[in-house]
Parts: sequence; structure tokens; C-alpha cells
Amino acid sequence: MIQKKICMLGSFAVGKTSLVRRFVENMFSDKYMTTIGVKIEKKVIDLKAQSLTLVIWDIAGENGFHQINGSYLRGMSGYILVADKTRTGTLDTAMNIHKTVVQAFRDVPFILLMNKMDLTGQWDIQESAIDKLSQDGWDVFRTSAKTGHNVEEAFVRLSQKMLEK
Amino acid sequence: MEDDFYNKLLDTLNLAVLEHVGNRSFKLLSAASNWLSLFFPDSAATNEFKHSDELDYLGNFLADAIPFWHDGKATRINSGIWSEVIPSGETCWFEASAHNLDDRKILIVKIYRAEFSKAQLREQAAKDNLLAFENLFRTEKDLEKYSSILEAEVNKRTADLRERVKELNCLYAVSRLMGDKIVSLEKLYTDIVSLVPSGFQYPDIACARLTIDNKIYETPNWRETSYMIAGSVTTLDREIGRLEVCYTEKRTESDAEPFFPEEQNLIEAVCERLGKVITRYTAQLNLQHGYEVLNKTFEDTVLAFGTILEIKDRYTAGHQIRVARIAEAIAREMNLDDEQVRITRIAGTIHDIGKIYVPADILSRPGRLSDLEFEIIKTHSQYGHDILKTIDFPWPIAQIVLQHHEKLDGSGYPNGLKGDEILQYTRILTVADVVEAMASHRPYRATLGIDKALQEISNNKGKLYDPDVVDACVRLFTQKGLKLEE
Repeated sequence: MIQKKICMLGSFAVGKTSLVRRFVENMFSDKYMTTIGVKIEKKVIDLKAQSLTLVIWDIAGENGFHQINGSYLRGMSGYILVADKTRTGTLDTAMNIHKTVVQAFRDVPFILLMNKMDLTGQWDIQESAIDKLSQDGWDVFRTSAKTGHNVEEAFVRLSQKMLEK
Repeated sequence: MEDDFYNKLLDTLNLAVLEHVGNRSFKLLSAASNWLSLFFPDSAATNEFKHSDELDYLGNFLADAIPFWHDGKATRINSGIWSEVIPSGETCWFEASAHNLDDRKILIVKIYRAEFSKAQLREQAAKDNLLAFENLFRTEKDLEKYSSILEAEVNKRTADLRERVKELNCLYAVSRLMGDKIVSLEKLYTDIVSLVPSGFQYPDIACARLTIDNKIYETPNWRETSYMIAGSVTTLDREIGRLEVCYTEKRTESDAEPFFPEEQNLIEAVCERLGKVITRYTAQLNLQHGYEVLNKTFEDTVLAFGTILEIKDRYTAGHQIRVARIAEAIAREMNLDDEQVRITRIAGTIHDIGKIYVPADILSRPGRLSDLEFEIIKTHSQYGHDILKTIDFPWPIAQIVLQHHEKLDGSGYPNGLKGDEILQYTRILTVADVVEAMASHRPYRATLGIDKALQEISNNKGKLYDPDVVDACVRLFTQKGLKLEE
């Protein structure tokens, strides 16, 4: 069976753990519980007639005080950048993380999730900024861990990208 | 036995200790905890602890630990915290560390259970606070808004502080004015009125007026307007005046109420201090006036005391007044201070009071006195002293009177005192007494004239009379126009 390591990266409280939980257990809780260190989950998906085990590393979000430990990214096949649609700063953080990762690991598949799309009245990140990233070739998914919107699709897309590589 | 104990101890501490024997295989040195199967899934069946999953957290750590063990330089590296769900379904946190101990490659894995939730709560609280703070400034617009609110608040507080400093400076200046020696209340009122506007928000358009006992003191720009603030000046619960401050124009549209509450406090503080100063100053004036009245009464009493002699001897009463005047003039000429001059004058006024015991016919009889009569006359110094010593003068009046016939060389009476044994007041009085006696008419002879008198004291300067006193007396009569009065 093929195993692939995926790292969830992004600012704190953008919904990384909720996205993983939605993807792995199809569950959601409004209660925000911060992640300490790293939380590892596994999920087997079937893709192109083969089973793929995703080892998902949910890494504690950056809060400006501590940076992500580089060794956590060792062996990863892909990563998911997560931003919170209601907090502009989280997109900046995601892009900064991306720059750092590219410098260290070069060409690793990734996708960007624009999470919390269900909070429509609180959207802060401009659609034009997201469109611009799409135009630049980024795979961007507008997701909601709360409703499950696009979550499965996002993980599948990354899996495809990892397998294609 | 010991091994069994240490195994239990390590298990109690939630520690699993393994020794790396190569090729990601380990020998378990501690008791086998069931959660170890999470990392070594085949260990239960094979009793071998071989870690094969390179993508799990421990596998990732071993990628760092194995070179560390081979290198053997450092003594320890840590993995950091991670969490996983153990076979019992419980979510637990783990931390691994690699050690080089006596050339043995040791791996310690620690499991944290419920106790770690406290640490998680602390981290949670910190991130919640951070999130709340971040939410304050969600957008650039918000940031601008809050920045401007913050800036406005800072500006407002700075302006407030500046106003308070102005008020305090004003109050300080007013207090200092009141603390200084007050020349007159009128000057104080004028100074306060000119100072008060400086304590207000718009000193350039502020004017002030102080009305005290119907007298008005105001700044040159005084104009009564509707923008007014006022306070009452009271002394001993009686309102005696009013301090008003006006703005001569409306400064801004937003200033519906142009005066701060602190400015009202300022004006009331000035009024309160002013009331106290007026009360104190008035009390001082009254006290001073009372003192002056008392002094005058005292001197009048002394004078009246001296004139009692007139009943017996008209000549002696006049003599005392004239001696007092000459003695006062000499004292001034010698630059004695006011108090010393006063003592000299008072002593002169009553220096012959003891003659009240001398029979009137001896005092006023023309012709030369017999020795006995003269002896009787000589008792007047002692009698004068005895009369005056019963009065509680603040000065040595009785002593001066007792000594006023003593001479510098000891030839005087009643005690034959010499030089410095005789008080300076007395030495002045002695010269004045001799000059007046010789230059005035006596019942038993005509005046000898001032020249003779001055000649007498000059001839005996330094012998009978104090040289400084003689010099001062001669200067007064010969150069400064002092005349003997009738």
C-alpha cells in the first residue's frame, strides 16, 4: 500500500485540525482547540483503482512566536496551506510558509485552502487576491470544515498531484 | 529484583526505555507498556522492537536520532511533542529523546495523559487572546479606525494633562504669592487677578475680575460675557468677595461648555486660599494694631507715671521729659536700633521717679543744699529702682534708673559702679541728665547754658562719661542743631 505524508500548514486557528477531522472522521466541532506540537492522523483513500494511505501531519499553527520545526516536513509528499477567509493576515502567513518550504524542498505538490467560507458575512480576504493566485497556477479550494464543502475534493486533488509526480 | 523495581518505577513515570541495537531495532530495557505497540506494531508477536514506519512521528525523529547516536558527540536530543490516539482510544501526547549513555544508544519515549491538558489550556488561552487582539484589527480600515481612535485618545489625554499642568502652575504661582510677605492686600488682589487667566484653557481670551468688599480688581481686558466661571471668597463663613473668569469670545463651536470641571476646581481653590490669606492678614493687622495701641498705652502710662512728680516738683517732671528726648537723640545718633532707642527714652521719662520720696521742700527749695539734704536727694536712685522693679518690664528699666548717677570712674552713686558695669542705656542717660541739668534753670540758680554743659561732659569724657556718648551728644548740639526745649 502506498503511504504519503501530507503536512497541514498555516496560521493558528485557521481550521487545519477541523479540516483533517472533517476529512478523516467527517465530523466538526465549533469549539476551537489549539494543537500542541503535531497531531498525526491517517486515512486510506482509493484513487485511480489503488489504495493510498494519507499520513496527515497536523502541525501547530504559526502564531508569530514559534516557527514550524523544519524537521516536521521531512519526507512529506505534499502539503496543504490553509488560510482563514475571514482573516487577511492568514493568507500572508500561508504565502510566507510556502516561500520557506519551496526554498527547502523545492518542488513539492501543494494546494491552498481558503477555509471558513461558511462565515459569509465576515469574509475579509478579497476574492481578487484568491483569483490572482489561481491565475498564477495555484490550486485553490474554497472550503468549509463546518459544512464539509470542498474538503474531500481538496485532499483528493492533492493526492492526485502527489501521485502524478 | 532490582530490575523489577526499576521497571515499575519507569512505568510509573510513564517512560519506556529502549536501546538501539541497529537497523531501527531496539531492545526494551523497561517494562512493556501496551501503548508501545503504537510504534512497534509487531512487538507483541515477535518480542522484537523494530520500527518500520518512516512517516510517523517517531520514524521522523529516528531520522535525526540514528546519526546522533553514531556521531556520539552530543548527549541528548529531543523530538518535541506530538499526539496520537493509543489503542485504548485515548488521545495522548508523546515526547521522545535520544541519549548516548556509556556508549549505549538509548531511546526514551514519554507518554503524557490527562496532565498535559493543563498545558494545552494555557496554550489555548494564549492563542485565544492573540485571536481576540487580531480581531480588533481585522482590516486595514479597522486598523486606521483604531489608530485614529487611539491617536485621538492620546491627543486628548495629552491635552488634558497640559491643562492640568497649567492649572497646577497657576495654583502654585498663586500659592507662592500668598506665601510671600504680603505688602498689602490690594497688591495681592491685583497680582492674583493677573495670574488667574494663565490657568485656563484659552489664556489669550481669558479675563478675570475680583470683587472684594465692593472694591473691584480686574485685568485690563475684562469684559463680562456669557462664558463665565466664578467662585466665592469667604472669611470665617462670610462671603466677602467673588472671583470671576470670562472668555471674551467663543473659541470653538464644539465648546458648548467651555470650562473644564478642573477649572472650576481651580477657581474655587484660589478663592479658598485667598479667603484664608485675607483672614490671616486681617488678624495680623488687628494684632499689630492692638500691639501698637498697647505700646502707646504703656508709654502713656509711663509718661503719666513720670508726671506724678509734677504734683510735688514741677521742675523735675519737665526735666525727665527733656532728658528722655536728649537720651533718645543720642541713642539714635549712636545707631542703636529702634527697640534700644525706645528703652532709652522710656528710662529717661521716669529716671527720677524715686524723687517722689524726697520731701518737696528739698526738691524745690532755692539755694544750696546741705550735706544731709544732698544725701536725702541721693536716695532717689534706689527708691526709683525699688518702685520700678515691681513692674514686669521686658527691659532693664529699674536697673537703668538705679545706675543713672553712676560714673565711669566709679565715683558715682549708689553703688560706685565702673566702666562696663554700667549699662549702655545708663551711660547715655547720665550724659543727657547732666547736659539737661546744667543747661536748664534750677530753682537755686539760673541756667549755665548748653556750652557750659557740653564743656563739662567734654572735660570729663572718658573719666566720668562714656566717650562715644559724649561725642554723639556734642555732635547733636554743635553740628546737628539739637535744641533744649522748655
